[in-house]
Amino acid sequence: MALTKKGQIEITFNWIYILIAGTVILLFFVGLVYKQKVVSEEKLTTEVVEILDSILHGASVAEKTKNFVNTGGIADYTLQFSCDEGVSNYGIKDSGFQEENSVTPIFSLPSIQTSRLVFWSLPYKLPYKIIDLLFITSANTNYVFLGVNDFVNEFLDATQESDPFLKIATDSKNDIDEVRAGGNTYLRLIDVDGTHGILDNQQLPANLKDFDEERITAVVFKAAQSVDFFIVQNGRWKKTNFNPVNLVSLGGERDAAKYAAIFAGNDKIYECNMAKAFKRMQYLDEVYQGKVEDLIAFYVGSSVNNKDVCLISLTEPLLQTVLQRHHTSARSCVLEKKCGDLIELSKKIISINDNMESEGCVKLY
Amino acid sequence: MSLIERCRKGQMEAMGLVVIVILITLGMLFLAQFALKEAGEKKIFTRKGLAYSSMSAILKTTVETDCRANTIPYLGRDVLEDCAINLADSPEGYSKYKCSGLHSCVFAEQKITTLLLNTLGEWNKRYEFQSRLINNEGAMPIFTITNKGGCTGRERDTSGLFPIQAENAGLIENILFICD
Amino acid sequence: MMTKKGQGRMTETIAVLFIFFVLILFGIVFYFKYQDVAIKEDIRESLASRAMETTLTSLFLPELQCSRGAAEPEDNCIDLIKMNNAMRVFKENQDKYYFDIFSYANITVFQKYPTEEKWTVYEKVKLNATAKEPTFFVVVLRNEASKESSESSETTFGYGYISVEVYR
Repeated sequence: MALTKKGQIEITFNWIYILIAGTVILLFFVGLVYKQKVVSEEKLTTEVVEILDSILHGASVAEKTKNFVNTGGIADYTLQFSCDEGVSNYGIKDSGFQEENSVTPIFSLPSIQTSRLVFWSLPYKLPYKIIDLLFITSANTNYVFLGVNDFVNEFLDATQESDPFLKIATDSKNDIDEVRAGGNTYLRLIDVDGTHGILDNQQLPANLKDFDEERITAVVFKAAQSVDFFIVQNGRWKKTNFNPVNLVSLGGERDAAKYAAIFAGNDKIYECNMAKAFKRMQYLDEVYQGKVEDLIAFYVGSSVNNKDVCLISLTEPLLQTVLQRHHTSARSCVLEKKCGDLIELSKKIISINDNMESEGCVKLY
Repeated sequence: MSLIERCRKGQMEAMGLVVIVILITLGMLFLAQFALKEAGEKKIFTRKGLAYSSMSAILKTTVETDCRANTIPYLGRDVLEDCAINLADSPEGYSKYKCSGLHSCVFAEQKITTLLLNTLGEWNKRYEFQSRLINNEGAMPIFTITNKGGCTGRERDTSGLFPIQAENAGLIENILFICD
Repeated sequence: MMTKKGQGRMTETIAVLFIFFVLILFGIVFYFKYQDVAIKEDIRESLASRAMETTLTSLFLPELQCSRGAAEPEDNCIDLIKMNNAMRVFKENQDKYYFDIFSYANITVFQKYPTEEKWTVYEKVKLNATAKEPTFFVVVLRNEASKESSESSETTFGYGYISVEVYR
């Protein structure tokens, strides 16, 4: 009897011991796995933002090319882009982890939720290359042009890609009533001449009423050198800029400043990032001013046949004065948003440069 | 030794074996991670970019200090072209450019060797530069420059073909390989 | 005898558990050691990546790159006249602008042919740097104001390389 009871106690004790020890070990490993999961998520968030940062930094290298990145595990998260006082901020909404960039102009919608981001970089020239403008869009954003002209055809052509991962969804309609929401999450309307019913406080057409208001934006090119930005509030269009936003560009093919207006979500993002380009312009102007002085010294000391012609091109009309005014205009563009002279001065520089080329002289750029 | 003692010894030995097996397994898993790792994409991009930029720079270099001529000659489109046209006369015969008193082909080979040694060679890169003439008769090697044994049979990145049209002689194909 | 048997078996169980926990501890130590090595490797890769990014940024800098009018600029080419002026502009605006592009780095351009020359384009040394990563890229150096150009109005191209050292 005593032996049986001892055996019962021993077996029972063993089982209790195993259960407790086993539970402790199990809890330990479960805790470890959970901790790893949290760490992995944070790592993934950081990695994607770092990849974004790397691509943004590399924008100047990949001129006129497109790139993409799959957001993978964070496709359900919203990426936020903003710009304030010349500094762009981007990161995952509410994550507390953001990157800053005060050099590269980045144009995108203020928030994007997507499984694939598409990056496109174009050089901004005024008249020489200033900087590469970086456009960020997503696989689920549709750019719909209202109206047709050469610019529209060029843009539609430029966004065609054989690689489906690099394709930007675009469309062209004659009237805003023809626009359908489709399967895209974001809708960007581009009114090419300001005659397609996108006006401040104007009611949104019925075909777009079912669309999420936060995901419809528009840009209107009413005049050649200005642009207006619109969002939707309470079923009506609302202009975000108080004054028309300056479009400082020389036109022509792949007009980077105009493309930037299409990709920028609002006037703040556009103006803040263009200011980065104007800031850079000042430094480039200084470099070219130095080059003019060096070229003058070079021709003074040279024995080439066209020496006199080249010196005239460099000194009359005073190229130095034009460049100095260009520099001053760029500065006032950054500080006071007065960019009026830049286009005229740039055209003068182009004229002088072309003249130098035709005379067989060393060109400014 | 009693039966019980023998059983205990057996248990301890088994325990020891288990420990060793676990250690070896963990070690193998750890090493496998490194063995299966592929060469980073960035490394390949760097080598390719370096090969491209080196080749591009070589062909665009002007050799006015060594070659006296009416116009400033380029190492690629002028000297190499002249070499291709007068390949049959190399090394002692005629060539339009007599850079440092040498036939174009000899000068081009020497100059390219020096330029590559001063850059890629200094950085301990293994490389192979090939230049050949392609015409109706087939492909004829002009010269090959290697460093550290060249790149044959090795994983390598190429600059891409940099062709130069040689008047009445054919097409000069130039390629630079950089390998590990 | 029965008591001794029970005690013996208890000791056996404890011994087994002890070895088990020793194994777990061993595994944890091994894992953290591996993490440490992996993190160091990550940091080294990150520095190498930054070095490459800075090199590519330098190669495509509008202040240095050879322009061709309205056409696309020339690849892997540095305009020496622009570079000489850019050096001054970088220095004057280093803290307020160019540091944001290059950070702590040393960017030097070397010419190997026709003559050996060296230009320090940008320099911002980190005093207590723990690591340094150099990257080299071959470039062609366009000189529109060379001695030969002054006689023939043709541009000369030198051969050289750009060296970018980044600090951590």
